[in-house]
Amino acid sequence: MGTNPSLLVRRDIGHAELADIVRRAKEGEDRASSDLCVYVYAHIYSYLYYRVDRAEDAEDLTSEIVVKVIQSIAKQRGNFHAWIYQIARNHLIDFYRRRAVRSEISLNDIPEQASGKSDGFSKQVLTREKLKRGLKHLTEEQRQVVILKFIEGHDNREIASIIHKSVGAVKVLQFRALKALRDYFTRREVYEAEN
Amino acid sequence: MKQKIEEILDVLLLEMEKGKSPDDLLRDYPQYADELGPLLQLARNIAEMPKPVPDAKAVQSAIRRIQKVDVHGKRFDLRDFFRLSILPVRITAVLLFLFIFEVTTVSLSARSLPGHFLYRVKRFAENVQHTLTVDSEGKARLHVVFADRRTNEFYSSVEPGVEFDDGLMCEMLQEIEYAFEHIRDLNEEGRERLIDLIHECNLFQVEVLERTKEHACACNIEKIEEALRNCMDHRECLECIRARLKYNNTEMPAGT
Repeated sequence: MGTNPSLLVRRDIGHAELADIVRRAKEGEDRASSDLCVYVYAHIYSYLYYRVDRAEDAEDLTSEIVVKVIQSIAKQRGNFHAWIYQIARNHLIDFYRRRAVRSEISLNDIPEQASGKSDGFSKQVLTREKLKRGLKHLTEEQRQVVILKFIEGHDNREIASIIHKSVGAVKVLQFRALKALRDYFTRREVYEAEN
Repeated sequence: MKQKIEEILDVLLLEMEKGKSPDDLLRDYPQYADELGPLLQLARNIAEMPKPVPDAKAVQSAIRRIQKVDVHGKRFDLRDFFRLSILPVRITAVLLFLFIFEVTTVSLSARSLPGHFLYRVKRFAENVQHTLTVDSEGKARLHVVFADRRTNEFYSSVEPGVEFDDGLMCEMLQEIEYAFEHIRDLNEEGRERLIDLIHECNLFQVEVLERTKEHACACNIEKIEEALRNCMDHRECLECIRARLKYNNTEMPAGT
């Protein structure tokens, strides 16, 4: 099974090409499985990156999810993205459950990561860490819409199928999510200016 | 019709993706500029933020793990079997499935009673069996077997003191008459064997009818007595045939 370095950088491939890779991977073609691995890795990693505190955790989880995806690719039916994100979401829930059990705290009590020195939102520089903190103040569905739409680049129809909502509901979630994020950053900016 | 603000934001986001700036876009919606302007700017900032890129070593390590899975992790999957492109294998698999399905269904239906959903399968199987049987003795034997089954079904379906449908009772007697019809096509040995069979079935039918009569409601007594008279007629017929066979045997010269 060889690797395809081009896919490591070219993350966005067309629907037809993706469908072809998935079909060949289902037939057991090694090259296709390897290409699919790289594609899924890139997508799931950035999806998880904003949902766990440490980048190492995101990498470990992504590796496990990718292996699971490739192992069960033959059973895959319907929308491929909806399927991989469903696997990722389930895996993430397990991850939080394990972590909560280990540290004997409830999922709601998971503390926000210490932010360290503030970057100062007033400079209008949005960093990944800031966004990650902001996303924690959104609902689960709003968070998913922001990641899938503005980071992953999926369209409304695809997001609707991934989160099992209507396109109209996705538009509402997108509006509310952006508004909540904007409010959070504004509050933070005021707080940091005062302190 | 007034457009909802969520819809307007979505349209503007799509336009922004095509390269337009938030300021240009909001010129068409001045009343929403204050509210949507910061949201568009924020969306743009998020979209333009460098994407988190996985460590290349981590990706390579995942690929290696997949290679191990491919080598050691493949298990037998029934669906893979049906995905085989060899036509005879598929046909054999389908035929085997149909055979097992048929055998299972027929076996399950064997004890079914009238009214049960498998009873039709049972009767259908009997019709098929009858059609496929070509010789007279075989057909006659089948009619005796069917008579035996109808008698069992009749006995199982009758409730003490409740009026019953006499359809099954008529059928059990009818089957014996069908068996009689085939007797004349048989040779003497075949006739003897069949007479014994019919005789046993006749005894069973008489016993069932008499037991049923003991607990039957008044409205059914007459029907049961009529059936018992039919059974006696059958028995007389059997005696006649048996006597004739005996007579033929004694009339025959020794050594022929």
